[in-house]
Formats: sequence, structure tokens, C-alpha cells
Amino acid sequence: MLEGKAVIGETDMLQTMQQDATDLASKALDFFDVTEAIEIARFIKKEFDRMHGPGWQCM
Amino acid sequence: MLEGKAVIGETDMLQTMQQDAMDLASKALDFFDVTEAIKIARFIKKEFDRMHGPGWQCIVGTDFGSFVTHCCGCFIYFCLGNLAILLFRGSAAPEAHENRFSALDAAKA
Repeated sequence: MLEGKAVIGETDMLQTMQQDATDLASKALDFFDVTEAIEIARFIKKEFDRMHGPGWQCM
Repeated sequence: MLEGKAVIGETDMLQTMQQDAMDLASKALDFFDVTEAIKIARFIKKEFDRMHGPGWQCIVGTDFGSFVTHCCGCFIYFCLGNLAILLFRGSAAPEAHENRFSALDAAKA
């Protein structure tokens, strides 16, 4: 859902990592409803911890 | 402004640190308007870095969900007026040479 529709506000990430973030957000919205903000944040944070090392925070 | 009106949603902080957080939020709202969320967050984060050591993160808003890893004893989520405030000391993971632990926590405005 909404693949390719993300609008980046600000970033200092490499392009590939940016893409990971926006892809995961799209995937999260396939699994969860837009009102399930905590589940979406959990999904993205945990996946980033797995993919790119621990210590990520997602709001 | 609004002193004593903070409502704590969730915390694992000691009482004194909780009070610091709520006092700073009230003080921030003396300096800034409720619409200046970034300035409020900056104020609280920088003051906590000064008072309690570096590494604090602060999120201020009216509608957000979150999921973070934080140092134990360093997490608070509270509401002040119609603002929700999340403050925590970020943690990556337990490290062999540091005697501290991490916990996962979630907060939703």
C-alpha cells in the first residue's frame, strides 16, 4: 500500500537506507491500520534493529 | 503555567527525575506556545542532557505512536494540557563493559 508515495522531510541517510525506511513503512501499512501507530512504530524499529544494528527509535 | 497539571502515562524513572521532567515541561510552556513543539522538545532535551548526562531524546506532539529502546530508569511519557511528551535516554543494547540494561517501551499520544 502507498508504495513509492513517501515524502521525505529531512534525512542524512544513504539512499539505500532511506529506501529501507520508506519500504518498511509501506509494508507496515499493509499489515496494520493507520490508527495502529504503536504497532507501526514497533514494526519499523525492530526491523531496523535487525537490518542495521541495534539502537533505532521510531515515533 | 499548568504547574501540577501533568498526567503521567508511563514511567520507570525515580520520582525526583519524573518531577524534573514535568517541571521542565511547565517551564517550557512559560517560554513557548503549545504550537512550538520543536522548541519545547529542544528545551527539555537539552536541560536533561545538562542535568542528568547526555543521550536524552524528547518528542512533543498531540498525535503520535512510538516504540523505543531506552536505558532502565530513563523513560517517561506524560501529558500536559493537550500536549503529549515522551522523554527517554536512548540505548542501543547492553554492552559487556557497561553495567546497564535496556528495555523496550511504547507510548502513544
